Amino acid sequence: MFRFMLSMSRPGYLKCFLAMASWAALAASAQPVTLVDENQRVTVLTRPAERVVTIPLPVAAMLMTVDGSSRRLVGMNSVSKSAIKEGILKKIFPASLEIRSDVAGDGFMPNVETLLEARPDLVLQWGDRGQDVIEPMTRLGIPVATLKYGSIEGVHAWLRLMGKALGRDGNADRIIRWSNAVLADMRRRTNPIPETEKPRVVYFLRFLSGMQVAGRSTNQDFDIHVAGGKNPAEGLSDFKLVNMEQILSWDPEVILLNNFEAGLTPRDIYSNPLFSSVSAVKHRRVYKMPLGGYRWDAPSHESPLNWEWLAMILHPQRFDLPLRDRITEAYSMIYNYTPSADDLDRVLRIDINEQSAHYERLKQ
Amino acid sequence: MSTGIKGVLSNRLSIASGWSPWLFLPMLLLLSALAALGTGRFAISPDKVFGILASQVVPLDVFWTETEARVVMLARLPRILMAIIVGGGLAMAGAALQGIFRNPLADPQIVGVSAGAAFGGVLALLLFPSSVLVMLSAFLFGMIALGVVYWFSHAGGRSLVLMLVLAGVVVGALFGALVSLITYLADPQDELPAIVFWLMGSFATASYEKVATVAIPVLAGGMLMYLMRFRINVMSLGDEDAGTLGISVQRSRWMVLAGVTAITAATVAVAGVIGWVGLVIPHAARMMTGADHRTLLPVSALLGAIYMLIIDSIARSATAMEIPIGILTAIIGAPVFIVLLKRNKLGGWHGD
Repeated sequence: MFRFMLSMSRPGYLKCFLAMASWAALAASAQPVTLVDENQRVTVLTRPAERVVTIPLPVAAMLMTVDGSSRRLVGMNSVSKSAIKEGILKKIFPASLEIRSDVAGDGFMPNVETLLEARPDLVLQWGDRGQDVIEPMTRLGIPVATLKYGSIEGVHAWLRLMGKALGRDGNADRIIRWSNAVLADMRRRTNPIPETEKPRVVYFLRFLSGMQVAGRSTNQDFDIHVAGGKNPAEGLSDFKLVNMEQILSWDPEVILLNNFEAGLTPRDIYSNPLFSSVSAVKHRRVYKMPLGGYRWDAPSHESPLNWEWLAMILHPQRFDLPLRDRITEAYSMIYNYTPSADDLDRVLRIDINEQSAHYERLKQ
Repeated sequence: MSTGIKGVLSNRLSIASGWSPWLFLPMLLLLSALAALGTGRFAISPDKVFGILASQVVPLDVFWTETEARVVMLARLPRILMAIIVGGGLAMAGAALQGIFRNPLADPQIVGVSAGAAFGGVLALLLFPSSVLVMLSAFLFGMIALGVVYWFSHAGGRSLVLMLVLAGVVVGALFGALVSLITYLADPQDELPAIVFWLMGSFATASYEKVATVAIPVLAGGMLMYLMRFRINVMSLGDEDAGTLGISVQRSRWMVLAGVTAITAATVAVAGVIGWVGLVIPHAARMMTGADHRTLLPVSALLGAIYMLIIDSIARSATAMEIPIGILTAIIGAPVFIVLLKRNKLGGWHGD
């Protein structure tokens, strides 16, 4: 059924009707759907959404995940698309490469006329970036549900909202249950670790053009703590530009590199003479973050895999998880896709990270 | 009107002859540089800083760590040199521009060069992100901006100061819009942050390579302007007076502008657009020495270097995060500018 619908590139009236009919049957009800988002905005759809546009970055991948298909995603942010192209989603949802990615411009501002062309019956947009990015759409009568950036609880709320909007609550709940289970398990294991044994971890959101680190109240800070690390930059809030001397006085034991700067690899740190006395460099513990269904840096439905990966990196003695099998299981569950050994190498960035300590365990 | 400025000029010259900034300012610059070398987020005691510095010329017993030596020699020193060169260059360029335009509000941004250089840099960041190309492109487009301004202001057959300023404003606005266009087109996840960081201006990525890149054009431009110091004096009397005194106003003005462009484009390329220095420092310098460009140009350069050095030391060591340099220069520059104007009633200038 899925394959059949995926293969429909340009549905004619009949195909459209068939698809609608089958979806109505699948969704079990064509009842009106009432969505209450995190900002308490109420959106009523006459039936589960059929054509969704997503503007926040991680949400395109999450929507396809919850739906198990790229069929109902009709528009996204260009940066969402680059994550699909760079990551594994292009193999899981090949049709997603055809989806238009011109519906929003700089600063998540919707291009309303392009957006109208996509004929969405629901748009997902950030809810904490002011009314200016929402009102141009509501004024034209386009239903908009908003999301708040933030923690893993936020991600769960998004998943729940998308599950409801698509009539796929079951899929959303399954992912949330898994995520909560991994989170509880991680906390149970990392909480007893004495503070003195938690490594100092610095995450670089930018490195090639000025060093920006993640301070408190960022997702990276949350992930570092879940996986049993300390963030020496937590005195700063959000992402802040710092200089070399500050890094040296923090002396991080592990350095995490972002997925946004494509050319950035641990070699950039290892070969920099100013870093040579930093603990993370002495012990070869600089890592590029993995990139799966979405960039693992950001909060997403794949965050549980990131916590497990990070725990293995931060505490090689305490955590010896079969991570490759975990990823395979998770991908079968959330994408109904079995990744090949090559896929896993690419997600874990084996070629980039294999020079770093403790990474041989992540190889096949 | 012109007798007014001559009077002020000679008046100031006599004051200047009784007061010598030539010992005081270089000493102050040297002391600030030493103090800056001992300041930073990574604590290093002053004796170690001196030891590290001295060990570069005389053999010494090492009583500091390898890391401390790297911080002083590879992190602080290039950054301090860059701040000195950029601050000195911008202030000198501002002083020369104010002279040839006879306008106390002129600074390197007014001839459109900053915007042109900014566009060149941003374009390079978008197309081929390599630091060498970014600098070359910034420089190239700074020159192009000046060329367009030249062509514009010659449209009527001869070049008037008013046309020049108008052309500068128009060209600056055009390149400013092109910069906005590029930030709009840039990939918001990857390219845009790099562009925004570069545009905001910072010495955080200083290296000896960048010091060399900025030093050559700034020294060349500075030399050119210093050679023109007499002509700038004459041009500051006004075009007609200068013409009757037998200098080619047009050619001289464009030579000064070429020097200004070299300096501005080079500083924008390595440290982004840094405002206010070229505007405020020449006024402070003029209060010290008067409007004679023979002393005003070097004094502006020295003052600008000291000012930028102090500002950058604050930017890099006041808090755990870097404070953007443009914000500090504006916050400090704007009130200082007002105070200077109030206290001095445009000292060194006649009242037009």
